[in-house]
Amino acid sequence: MLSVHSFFARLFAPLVVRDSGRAAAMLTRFARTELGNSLVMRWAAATTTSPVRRAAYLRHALDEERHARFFAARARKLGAPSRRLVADADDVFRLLGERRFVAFVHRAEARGQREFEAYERGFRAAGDAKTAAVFALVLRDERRHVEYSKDFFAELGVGRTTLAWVTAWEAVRAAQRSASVVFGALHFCVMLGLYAALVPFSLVARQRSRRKGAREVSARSVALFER
Amino acid sequence: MAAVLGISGLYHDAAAALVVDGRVVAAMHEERLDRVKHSAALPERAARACLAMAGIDAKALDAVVFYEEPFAKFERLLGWLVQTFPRAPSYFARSLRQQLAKKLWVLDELSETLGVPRSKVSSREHHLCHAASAFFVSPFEEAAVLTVDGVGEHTTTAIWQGRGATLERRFSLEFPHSLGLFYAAITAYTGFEVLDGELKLMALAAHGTPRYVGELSRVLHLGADGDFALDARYFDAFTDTELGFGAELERLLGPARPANVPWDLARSPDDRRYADIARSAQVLTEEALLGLARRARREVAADALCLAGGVALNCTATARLAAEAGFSRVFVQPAAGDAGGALGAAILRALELGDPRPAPLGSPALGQAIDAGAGADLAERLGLGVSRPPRPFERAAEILARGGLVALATGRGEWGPRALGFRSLLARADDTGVRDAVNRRVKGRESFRPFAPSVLEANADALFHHVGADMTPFMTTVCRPRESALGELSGVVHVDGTSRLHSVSKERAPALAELLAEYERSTGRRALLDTSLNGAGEPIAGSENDAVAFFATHRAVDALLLDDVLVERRPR
Repeated sequence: MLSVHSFFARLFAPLVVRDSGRAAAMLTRFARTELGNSLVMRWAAATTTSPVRRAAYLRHALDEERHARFFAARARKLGAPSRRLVADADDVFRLLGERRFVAFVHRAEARGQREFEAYERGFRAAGDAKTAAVFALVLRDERRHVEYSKDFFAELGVGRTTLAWVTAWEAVRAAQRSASVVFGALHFCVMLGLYAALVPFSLVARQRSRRKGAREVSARSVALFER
Repeated sequence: MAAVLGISGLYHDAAAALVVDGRVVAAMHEERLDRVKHSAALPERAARACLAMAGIDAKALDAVVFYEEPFAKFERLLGWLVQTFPRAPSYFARSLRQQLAKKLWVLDELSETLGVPRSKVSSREHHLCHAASAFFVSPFEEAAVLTVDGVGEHTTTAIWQGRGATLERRFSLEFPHSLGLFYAAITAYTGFEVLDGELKLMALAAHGTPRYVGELSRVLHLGADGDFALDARYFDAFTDTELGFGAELERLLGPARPANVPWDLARSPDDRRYADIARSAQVLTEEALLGLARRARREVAADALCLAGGVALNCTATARLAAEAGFSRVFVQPAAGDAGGALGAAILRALELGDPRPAPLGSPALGQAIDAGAGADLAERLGLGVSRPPRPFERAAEILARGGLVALATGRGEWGPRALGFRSLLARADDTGVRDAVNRRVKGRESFRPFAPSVLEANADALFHHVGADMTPFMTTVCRPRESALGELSGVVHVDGTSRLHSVSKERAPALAELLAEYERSTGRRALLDTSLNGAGEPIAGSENDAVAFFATHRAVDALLLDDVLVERRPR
């Protein structure tokens, strides 16, 4: 099945792989996403009541942490600035409950697999074997994640209805996120206008601080510290 | 008699603390549960975990208290944005969004999230919460209390008189004159991340000489009687630069150090210059704190001093205060930073409701408990070897003696940023090679940062000079090892000849005490290197899941002790 993600991955892969700056930015984004996914899986491991699934979720979380490190390291090699990764994630397990959560994990991993396959092919075709190898390593785990999550379907009663519900939920979430981006941009513009309105207040503040003068404190002798 | 939940959050180091009938029953950092280092969330997980620990439903709470006044803080922010105009358009837009969307309504959100009536949710002043977090769990009936941090609502520094169940403010300084902001600016200037790298700067300082004190005295003016002022020209906090320091500071000290570049103090003159700047900033900070402490001694006729606020985590400075400020005893509780505000907030409200003052803080184990059985099951499923040896500490001591690393996860997690024998990674303290291996293969820290020793309380005086018995159980100060013990402590002495000692007693940290005793019996050595149970950039382990995950992913660690369960690697 060709999802929107894998469609765009196939479309943009040739553009991304030829430019190391773009590739580095994309790998950093992937690193951040994988780190976010690891949190989601850690929270799931902490919440599930099944010891079997707890181990599976935790193993999954550790895979995602490793992926984040792989992607971040490769991004740095391609010129990305060396910054601490900060992840953002929703507690999907708590939002959806475990049955829908497992369906969500399965769909997300399958989508990730298709996306990464497109990039792996792209980087290999562009002659960047090292970046392609990173994707190949990650893909090995992604395939396992797709399989293990499906193995829980019968146990948790995940059927077509659940998968359809999760598909719809993901669509709504994607729309909400897009709306949030638009709202954020709009908010930023409004705030800039509001910021400009601070001009008279800032003039008053400056006049006041000039009148008040500098805070008077007597500096101690520098010699005090020369010991 | 009341059940009061204190909350700190939405900035950094979010935490929750629960006080029931005047007893501190739980205190937890959100990062140990949400796995985001220095978590800035509203600590819902920590709050629920505290309630679960006490077996209390949120509806049974008598009060929920937030650790700062949201509207007062907003007022300061607006005032400052007016003053920094026009250098903060992006910061203005972003911070206003955060304030209007969330921070201003935090009390309503707490009410909704926890299901507690809004009338039971209130807030207290930030520095008052800090002061309460230190004094009310201290062993003192009367003390001077000094609170120093970046900034609360308006206050950055305050001196309080603590007496019985009361706190009275005696002196305060307001934003922007802040030791926390000064230290944060130098932290950013030397390439570390603010709110994370301050303790790295403190460690770096030991490698430098204070030859920039003259220059930095223009930035931080020390006045008479504990007063000080920052020269605003050198700072750029709360503007779009997001650096904390301004271009003027670079003109004064030279170019700032780029972030995330590996340090090389042996070969790089630039890095040595940054170490000198760090040392100079440390010296000035210590002098400022000494001035404040001496003023506190004069203002408050008490023989003991309590410290709180992020700056109180500067253990080199607390050692100087203990030695030079004129107090006979000094106390810093383990979570002296913003997390501690949750504890202070809860105690303040509990006292208002008529509860007695809490007992002095005994054990720092106020966090989430380990379920060793569940951990053993998990470890087996992850393909690790699990056993319940009759004498697990004997086995752990054997591993340590031959230079191995042992992870210890036992009982309830620590309150505060230090490993205090409940979520610890242990190694020999007398071997610099082992220390370097811990750093290289597990912690991934800058090579200039020291490791700390844990020793039995009974051995502390034999190994160290001037053990500050009120602080060493919580690792909030440093001590100087005795000459005779230097060989035994070679892996845990910093370049300035000090160690951040953790003195261990059976009452406070029973498992670590037993392991130290076993290690001494089998090797004759009395100290272990004790560092937090986490990898690079990770929060300290909270649950058994985290401990097992840590062990599974760090092959350099030889064994994990989960209460009485020993987890080892199966031979390949």
